[in-house]
Amino acid sequence: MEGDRPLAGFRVIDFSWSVAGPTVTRNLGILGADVIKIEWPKRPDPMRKAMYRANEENKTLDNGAFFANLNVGKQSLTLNMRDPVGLALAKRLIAQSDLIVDSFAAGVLSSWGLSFDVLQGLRRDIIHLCMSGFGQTGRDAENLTWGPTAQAYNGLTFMSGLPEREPAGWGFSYMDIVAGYMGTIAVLAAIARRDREGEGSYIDMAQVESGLPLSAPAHLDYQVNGRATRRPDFPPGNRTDWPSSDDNETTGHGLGLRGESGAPYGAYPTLGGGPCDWCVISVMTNDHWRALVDVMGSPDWAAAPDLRSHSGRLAAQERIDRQIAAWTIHYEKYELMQRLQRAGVPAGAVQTAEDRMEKDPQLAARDMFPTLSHPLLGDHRFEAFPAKFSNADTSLPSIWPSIGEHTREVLEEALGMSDAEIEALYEQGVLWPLGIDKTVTIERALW
Amino acid sequence: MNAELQRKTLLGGLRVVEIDDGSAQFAGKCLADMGAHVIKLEPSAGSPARHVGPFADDQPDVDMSLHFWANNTSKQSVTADLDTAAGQRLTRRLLSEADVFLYGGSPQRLDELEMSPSQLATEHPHLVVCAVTPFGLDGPWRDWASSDALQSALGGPMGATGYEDRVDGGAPQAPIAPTGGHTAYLASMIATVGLLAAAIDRRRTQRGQVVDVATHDVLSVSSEMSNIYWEYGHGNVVRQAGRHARPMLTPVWNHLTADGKYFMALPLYLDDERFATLAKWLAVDNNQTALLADELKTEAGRVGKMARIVDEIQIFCRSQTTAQLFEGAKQRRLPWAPVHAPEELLDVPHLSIDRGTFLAVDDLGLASSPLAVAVPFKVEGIDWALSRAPRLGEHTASVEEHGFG
Repeated sequence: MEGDRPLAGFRVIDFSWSVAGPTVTRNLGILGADVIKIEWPKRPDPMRKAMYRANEENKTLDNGAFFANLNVGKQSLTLNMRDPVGLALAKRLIAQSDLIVDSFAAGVLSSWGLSFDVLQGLRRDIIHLCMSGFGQTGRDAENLTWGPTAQAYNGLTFMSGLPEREPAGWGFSYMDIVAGYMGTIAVLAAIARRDREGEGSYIDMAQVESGLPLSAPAHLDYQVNGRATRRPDFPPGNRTDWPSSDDNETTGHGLGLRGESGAPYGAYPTLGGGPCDWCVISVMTNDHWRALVDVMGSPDWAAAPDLRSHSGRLAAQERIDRQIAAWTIHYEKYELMQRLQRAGVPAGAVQTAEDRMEKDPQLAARDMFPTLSHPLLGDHRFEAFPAKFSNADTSLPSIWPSIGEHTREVLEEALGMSDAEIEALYEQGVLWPLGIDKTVTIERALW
Repeated sequence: MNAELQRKTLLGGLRVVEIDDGSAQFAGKCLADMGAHVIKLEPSAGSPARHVGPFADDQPDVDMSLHFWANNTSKQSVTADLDTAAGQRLTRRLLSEADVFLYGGSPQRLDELEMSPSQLATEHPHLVVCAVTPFGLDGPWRDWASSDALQSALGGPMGATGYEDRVDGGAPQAPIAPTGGHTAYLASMIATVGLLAAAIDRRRTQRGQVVDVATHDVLSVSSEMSNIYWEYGHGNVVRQAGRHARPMLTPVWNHLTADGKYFMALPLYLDDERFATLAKWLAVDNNQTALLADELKTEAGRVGKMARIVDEIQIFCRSQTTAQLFEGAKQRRLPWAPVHAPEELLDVPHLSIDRGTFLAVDDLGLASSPLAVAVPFKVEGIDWALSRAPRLGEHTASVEEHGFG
């Protein structure tokens, strides 16, 4: 939608790297903040070296495909923070900025002489979001963390999979996504506070903690009922409740912690036999059940009296699932989904990325993968911001942080520096390491 | 409420009306824990989330759902039947006093109530209307039914998650939709981002607006690598247990330990120095010398040999306890961790003692106060306004009389 961007005029100094921190600054950039990513080419953001275009022969710090999607809307300034002149420049920039985001291990920014006290001295109402694995305080604050570490540690890996098997976990760094979204929430709430009270904020966000509210019902079930998730009928696969060996009365009440309860509920095989030729069906009400039975052509087995109630269906899950799978296997997944949805039954095909980007009419109608023209990669589709505003522009800004590309521009515009001053800093190796090419070639992608 | 007002909060003064079927309640919780005044309007039977277990003492009751407790802390509850004139009057009155209307449910229900977002935005120009719906306020699937696993299927996590082995050597295993209700959590997080951005924007523009959050949109851009792999010619990712879905199969990350639990031994980002440290650890603590081979000393030399390396890690994990592995990894700066069950986090001293991550939720009528997490970050000088989730209709009388007060 046309309109201004909500954070127009905010300046963000972005010391973050990898995925969680850059997810925060990506969101802030789309919301209108001026995001300046500060790096040093000798130790760049590792994601600059991850996942290139297939068969890319000329890998550099600037043409990573994953990096391009994650860092759209940002500028890049290269600065040697370990050089006193570089540090002084950073301080002048911070004095004119609203937010600082870093995702270093605890203590790195302080070791540069940029503790929160110092930052506040530069800008009284500054907001500082520190994103680390285990937080800035506590006995384990030094622990090294990547997304997979955080989700293993905080219980979310454990909660996914079939009972009595190894955890299925998550097929991606879910905790980078969650920490990125939670970090964005923290910053926006701090901006709201600053707008109201004129106060800045120091925010300590630990990646392992950021996922804890998402397993809060499990924490409560353990404390209140003494029921641990480390038990034979958990996690419940795709179901809401795994049939329990002791068929007590609690079966059927969402013990699988999915936040809903239903049966049949799961993924059913469809024509094709490929890894994603499956369709989810979720029967959560008697209406859903009657509609499903109708679409299946009212087979005899479905008329059994015990299947008329929610609890009866939960108790008969194994039997129902076998029958439904024998029916679904004759349909293509989208055809099945369409037939069931038309009848009001919650059903959804298991989609691949290809399915979402090439075949999903809903995502196409909502323009969730807009095409932008990247200066090095050409025209490609990028992931849109997933909230639509009626009176604000949240389209993806067509700029990318090629390393050091915006150094000169930022120093001129934000600090009013002259060409000669900037040239001198380049010659001193403050704005780019001496003896290193402007285009840094990468031999092997990180992944 | 006076004590509440004196607390330093991030969102004190923000007034929110919430109507929810389960998809937006976590957004309301985040706002309420951060100090916003959140009034939840519920039908007389209670919001759908009150009917979802597990329940305290396994007694199904609208005031005993632990799922509801976790996701509705710090709010007020008002019963209002929106299908009656009185319920509509109260709703309209609260919306005229509110900054934000947070809705989770189907678009059809809002249409039935003559409360479509565009209509509300016209009636209340100051209001931020944030609608969390399964598929959004427009598009061909707008009115489709939804569920947690369905959103995981259509949106991406499910296709990327599960087991790589085959059933009886034949068909692939079903993909897995992680449990926990995460599709609602993700939609709620983006709703919180969107409505806070709109509330900030209002200070400048003096007007509210509609924020349209589709769970399907959110999920479709929240699985990190899959879309990018496809867009840049790598094909579709292949799911593989307990690790990232990639276009190819990769070695296992999670291994059984001597105490029978799984341990996440990430074999990525092993530079030469870290690899040497790892090789030495295996040799000294378990007489495994295979990783000391000269050919493995450099990154180039290790290319194509990860399966072999991970086999050694697997043998090593089997020989050690979880505690030994975690301590050893910490000392060697390896980003490894136990695969904890969620309840085990309650006893981690770094969280429970040092960081005070878990806060007691009082006044639940239980023998002891269980611990819960408010919003999961700390802000210097700020307290979370964490209080227990409201009983159904607990605040009806006072809100009917005083509105937001």
